[in-house]
Amino acid sequence: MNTVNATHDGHPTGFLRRYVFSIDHKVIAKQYMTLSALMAIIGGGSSYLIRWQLAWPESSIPGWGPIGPDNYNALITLHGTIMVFFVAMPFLLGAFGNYLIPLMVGADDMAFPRLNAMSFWTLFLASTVLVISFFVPGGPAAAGWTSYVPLADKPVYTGVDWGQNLWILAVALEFASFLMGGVNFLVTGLNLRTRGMTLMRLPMLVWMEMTAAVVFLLSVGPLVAGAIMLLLDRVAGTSFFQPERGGDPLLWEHLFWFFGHPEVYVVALPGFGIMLEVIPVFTRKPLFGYAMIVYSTIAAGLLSFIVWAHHMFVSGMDPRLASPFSITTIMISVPFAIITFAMIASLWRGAINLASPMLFALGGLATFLIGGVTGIFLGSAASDIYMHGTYFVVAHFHYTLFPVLFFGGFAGIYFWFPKMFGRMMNEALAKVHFWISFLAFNGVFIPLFLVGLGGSPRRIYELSSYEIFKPLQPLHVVATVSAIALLVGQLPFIVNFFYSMVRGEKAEKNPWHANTLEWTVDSPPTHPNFPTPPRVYRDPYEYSVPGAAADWIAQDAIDERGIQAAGV
Amino acid sequence: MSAGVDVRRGAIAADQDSIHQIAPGKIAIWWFLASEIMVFGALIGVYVLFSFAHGGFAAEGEHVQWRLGAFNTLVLVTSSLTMIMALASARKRNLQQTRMFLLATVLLGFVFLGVKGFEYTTEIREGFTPATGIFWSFYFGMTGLHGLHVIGGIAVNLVLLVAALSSKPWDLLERRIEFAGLYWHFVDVVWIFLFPLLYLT
Amino acid sequence: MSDSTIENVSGRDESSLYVIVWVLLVALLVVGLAIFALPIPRAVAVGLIFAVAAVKAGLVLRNYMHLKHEHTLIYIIVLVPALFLLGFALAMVPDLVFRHAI
Repeated sequence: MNTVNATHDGHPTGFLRRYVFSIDHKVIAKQYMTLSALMAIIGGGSSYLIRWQLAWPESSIPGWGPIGPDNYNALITLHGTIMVFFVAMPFLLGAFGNYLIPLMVGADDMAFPRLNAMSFWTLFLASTVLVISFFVPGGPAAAGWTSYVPLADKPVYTGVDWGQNLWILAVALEFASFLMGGVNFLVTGLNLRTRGMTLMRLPMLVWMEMTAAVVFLLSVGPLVAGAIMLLLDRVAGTSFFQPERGGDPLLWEHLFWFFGHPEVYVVALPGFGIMLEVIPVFTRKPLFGYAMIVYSTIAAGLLSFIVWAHHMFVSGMDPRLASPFSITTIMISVPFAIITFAMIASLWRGAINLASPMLFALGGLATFLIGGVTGIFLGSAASDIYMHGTYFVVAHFHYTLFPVLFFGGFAGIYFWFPKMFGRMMNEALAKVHFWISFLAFNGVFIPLFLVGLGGSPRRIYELSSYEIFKPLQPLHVVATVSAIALLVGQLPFIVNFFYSMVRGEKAEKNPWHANTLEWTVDSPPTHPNFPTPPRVYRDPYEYSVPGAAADWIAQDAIDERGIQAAGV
Repeated sequence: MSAGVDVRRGAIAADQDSIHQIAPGKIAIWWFLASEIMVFGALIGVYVLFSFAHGGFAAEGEHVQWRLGAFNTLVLVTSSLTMIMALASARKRNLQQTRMFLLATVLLGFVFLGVKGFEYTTEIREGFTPATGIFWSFYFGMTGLHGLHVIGGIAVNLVLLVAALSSKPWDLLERRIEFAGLYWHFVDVVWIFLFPLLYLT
Repeated sequence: MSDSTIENVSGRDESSLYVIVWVLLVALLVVGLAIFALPIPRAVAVGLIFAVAAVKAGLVLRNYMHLKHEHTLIYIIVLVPALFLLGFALAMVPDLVFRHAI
């Protein structure tokens, strides 16, 4: 027997067991999605405040009031922390990983359903702790999402006391949550694959989620150690990061970035996974270079552990480390180039259908290319010396994170919404959502590249009082207007999402005619997912196979007539 | 329609690949231990580097009580023995022995904590606190984190002991003892490194 | 489904092996203490003590944690973090050891 049924015998009854403390991976995935959406409101709201302040400094922000330097620092801290740890991770890993991994490998649930529920509730606790930190005396953490020391090491430097401690606790709980989740992903992907599902027949998303899980599991440890050291410095009088008492502030940066860099790939890989699932379906062509993508993913995962000090080129670290880390950083662009080129090659001579999932996937690909290329300037120590700490960096990482989180994430939503909710979303509203978002996003961050090249440093609450930056101010205005457009542009999606959930056209099992196993079950799936365990005979991207009955052949189809073993 | 390509060319005839043979719970515990290796390894690695930078912490470390530390090492190593013996007894389906060895492991865990608590108390009374300097920061930090892990391990072992006392099904109990044992042995291994680093150098 | 029948348990009673390992561990503990007492250069003593600790850890890993019976994947799960840590520590040597403030 190779599928593990959830440990409960029948479908649980009672509102709490079914919808709140559920151990069903599909419910838990939706819980992650909801939590990340709520946190995204806070994260997005903070970006509104930040952008307004930068465009029209010292003005009173509509709906909020004026912001001083301390509030600004807290805002950028919360924006970064929330977006990376409480939106990107829960959305790309918690939601899509949980929903799709069991379905895609042919299992009825994750390997450890109760651990799965615990991982969600731990994240919920972490989010609560973070929100509480907004209201404690001294306010929330204000030392950046990177929490550099000595700024973060002594309350007297930021004026923030318990806010910073709670921030450490919230992040630590988030780590615990994803450690639990990551173990679940790995064991499910390794052990619960149904018969015939070899590793090289796994859908790309599963490879990406598993690699992300491994990378996270192995990289988070040093930062856990560092977080404990930071907390002890703040509350127990230790001196890990205090040079005057035998400590070393640079140690924090090493510990943070040893995790911090792999972390951004933990976020990026699942986003790619979603794009890689969508593209073949909407070109009706096999994915180009499946094996190369797998090997590149593993290579990228491994390399991600030896590039971290490119965040520290100007930190005062030993300059002799600059060359080795520049070299490794340039090296890591290779596997990512392979992956993006494979996506482009997958488009070549395909029957491209620009439905909304595909628009978002392509939009993500296009914008990520800009992000990747600009990373090369930052990965080389020589050019980074000029650009570190400027808006060029800000634009670069938004051009990598935003494509995978936003464009990749929405590609996933539009693609799998029919499976999750049994209804189709409105395509017209989806296209409006895409075009406003795509144009507005570029409108925010292209100007910021220019601002950064003009030398303007980041993390400063207003720049208009500096003569040399005055000419750059109009760029900030353009960015802010675009940012507001971007936020407003989410309304079509919100309307579409909730309306379609109740009134959308009913979806069949496989509205996109896709091959992977989740499309062989009902929309939404029955309980258990697979009344009969599926048997896989083929690769996941057999589209337009010459001589086949249709332009798609499901993974569990016995032959090219597309007849499934367990019946249609 | 063409006669078709042999679509079974990719199908697996035999049973699944060897990875499927490993119990899910075991892989899970090892992945968890891998991340714990990173946590303690980072702390230990950083401590070693600081020690080199400092020319060793011989002076600062003079006041650690190495005899108590050595005794605690003996305690923990013995508890590893009793833990693995509990597993061996479970494999032989000997309920009485399983209970006995689990109880011994729990008790030895408490002894370890007791000695550690005594150490902390005397050290703080003599004026050596986490704030005393970088060596003591590491001492309290690392042994404290380790101690928290010991507490966690004792809790798990207690749960198993209770399960053994009420005769849970053997398969489940044996598996859980094995997994808890892996964790407990790991806690022992960490101490095997902490002891010489903090107490003997 | 008993996992002990799926994976490789040696089958024979390993209890005597476990006790022998314990005796070795205690002996190595004594050896470690003895090294600490010897009048040898500090650096040598530290190296030896660390080596003794590594041997003890290896004994526990191989025999108590059954690493010698386990699938290659589990070896990799243990080895890769150890290698990453080594690399991490080496990369920090210039900063933490040579430029350390005090």
